[in-house]
Amino acid sequence: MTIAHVQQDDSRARLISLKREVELIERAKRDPGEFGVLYQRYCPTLLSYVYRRIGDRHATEDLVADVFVIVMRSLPSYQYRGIPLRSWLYRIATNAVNRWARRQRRVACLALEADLIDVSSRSTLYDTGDGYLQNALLALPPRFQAVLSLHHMEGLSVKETAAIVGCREGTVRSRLARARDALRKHLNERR
Amino acid sequence: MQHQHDPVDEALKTLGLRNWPSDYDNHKLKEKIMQDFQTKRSMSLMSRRNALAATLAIALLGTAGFAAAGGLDMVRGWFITVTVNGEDVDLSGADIVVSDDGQEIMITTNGLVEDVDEPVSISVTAEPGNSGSIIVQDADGNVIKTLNATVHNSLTGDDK
Repeated sequence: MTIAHVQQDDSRARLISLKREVELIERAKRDPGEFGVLYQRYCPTLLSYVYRRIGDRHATEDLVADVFVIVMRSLPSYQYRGIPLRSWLYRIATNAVNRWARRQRRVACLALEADLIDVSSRSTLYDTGDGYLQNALLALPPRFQAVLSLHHMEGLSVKETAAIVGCREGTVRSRLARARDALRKHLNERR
Repeated sequence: MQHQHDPVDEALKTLGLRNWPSDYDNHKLKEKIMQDFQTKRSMSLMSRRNALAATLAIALLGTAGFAAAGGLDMVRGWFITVTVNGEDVDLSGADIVVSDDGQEIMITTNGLVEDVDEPVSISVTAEPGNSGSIIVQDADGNVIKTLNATVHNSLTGDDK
């Protein structure tokens, strides 16, 4: 079997899986029971993605629940236009997490202004042993957090990341470089 | 080799290795989604009902205002056509008042009748003997002339 054959088989398998996905979406639009299949398939991915980004279990549960409520409401008007369902779900989740991150930053700013919290105790807000890494990530602007998470942690291509965040591939590359620099700076400050 | 020890790569790798616990009981999450969905749906239904009620209230008020401003007569007037000596008369700009039962029609207009340029009122009666004729009066109520004319109300289907 040649490389060309492997590539051909690979693209055929992708086409079949895409066709099945489109069929599943159409069934889920008509039958709420079929929505459960979508939920089972994508819930673990979204839980992990949101959890990796924010490191807070309760907030992750709330955000993923919000995402699926939005999906349930928006699915009837969803039309497949070449972007896989996974990317659409990632986009909804990314927007939800970005909104959450902005809210958290505002709350933190207000709390700091009022001297309500100690900055050094912020890591205790997160239930992971890597609190300082999480804090360094969350200290970045949400658009930087999003590209770093999607590309480096979720392993998505620059093209798919661009489709999810709604900008050009060049913009994603530039954001990735700036986000890495900003993260490096934060990590150096915290060490 | 230097790249492998990049603190940024290490940090991203560490964060990326964390997975949502597979033994997590997502039954709780399912319930939460269903509750949220039900709450948002009922809120959306409520806001839709409120919007519908507001629209209906505005429509009712608008209709009442329209009727109070003589809109009903105007609408009734759309169905009136006048024929004098077998020819249709242009009633655009005429003030047409039709009674509620559609039996009495008062038309005030300029140039409806030849030789009479000032505003005239035409009273139409359905009394026996006057059938088929209309009386043209001036502003003071003096009879100018009696015409052999037909007023047709297409709303009630009456010819007078």
